[in-house]
Amino acid sequence: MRKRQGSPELEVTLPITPMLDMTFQLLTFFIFTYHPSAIEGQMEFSLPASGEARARTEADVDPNKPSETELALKSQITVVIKAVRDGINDGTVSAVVVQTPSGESDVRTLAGLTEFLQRQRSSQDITNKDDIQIQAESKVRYAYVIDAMDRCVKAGFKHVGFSPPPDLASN
Amino acid sequence: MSHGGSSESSAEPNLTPLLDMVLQLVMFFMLVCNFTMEQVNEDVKLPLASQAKPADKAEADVLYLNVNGKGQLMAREAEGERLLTTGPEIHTFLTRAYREREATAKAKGLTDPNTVVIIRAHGDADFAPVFNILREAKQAGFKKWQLRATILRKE
Repeated sequence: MRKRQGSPELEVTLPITPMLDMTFQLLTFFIFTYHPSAIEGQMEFSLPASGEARARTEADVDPNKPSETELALKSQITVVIKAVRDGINDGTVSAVVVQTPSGESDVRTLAGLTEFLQRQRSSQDITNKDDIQIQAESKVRYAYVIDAMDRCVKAGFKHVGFSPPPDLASN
Repeated sequence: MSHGGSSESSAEPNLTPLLDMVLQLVMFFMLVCNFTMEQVNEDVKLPLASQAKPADKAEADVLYLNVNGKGQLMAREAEGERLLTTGPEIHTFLTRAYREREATAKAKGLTDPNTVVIIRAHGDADFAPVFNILREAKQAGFKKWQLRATILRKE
């Protein structure tokens, strides 16, 4: 096709400025709505099979009936966590006691639990080196229970179970 | 300052590379944007754990149980969120949740639901309510569990 004589050459330019404006708005939106949440992880724990604990039909459900389901493992070591009940620091840890076949040991705080458990685990008295259970008082904060669980896993135990809080019935 | 003899020229900045860069930034934020799941409650401040493993997102059927700092189960139902405190309330909620999943599993030809109960409890909650929820979930019939914690980065 021949160009028309005398007409100026047409230059097609894409208007980038509005597109850039819109993109900046999108960018601003994402920057404001972005908040990096902490990475969530899962803690493994084991619950032994306890047969047919659940009701067979809806009519069999008795919500007032206390559950008989046990959440504990057959372990040789139990970590007992006791709570402060002074009205000021309620829920913090007052004592950490480790029960083993050879007796009870007061670890005092959770900080020394990992090393203590590692020593216990390597002793010959302990034949079940995989299972451990945690028995925390009902008022102990969940964060401390997870901390204790974390230390048990760090010490090398593979299955961590929970015993019912010893003071649960009194609450 | 005048330029004698030079023709008038318009100086336009080249916006195309700028646009490219901004689009790349937008793409980045779109990809890393954490679209929070409806069932995950952001108000629940999880406890820290260094041994926690990255959450397995491959689990198809999960039941999130969010527990607030007061130990109340934040039950998400059709009518909205309800705070469950007493044992019977929690028992009824979990039994109903199990029955619904059991019916779905049976419709698919499975004997039991393969649901994973994920406990997301606030670090300030007392241990007793969390333990009760675990116990009630087990009594309702659920067989798989996970406790969620924030992964503590090793220094």
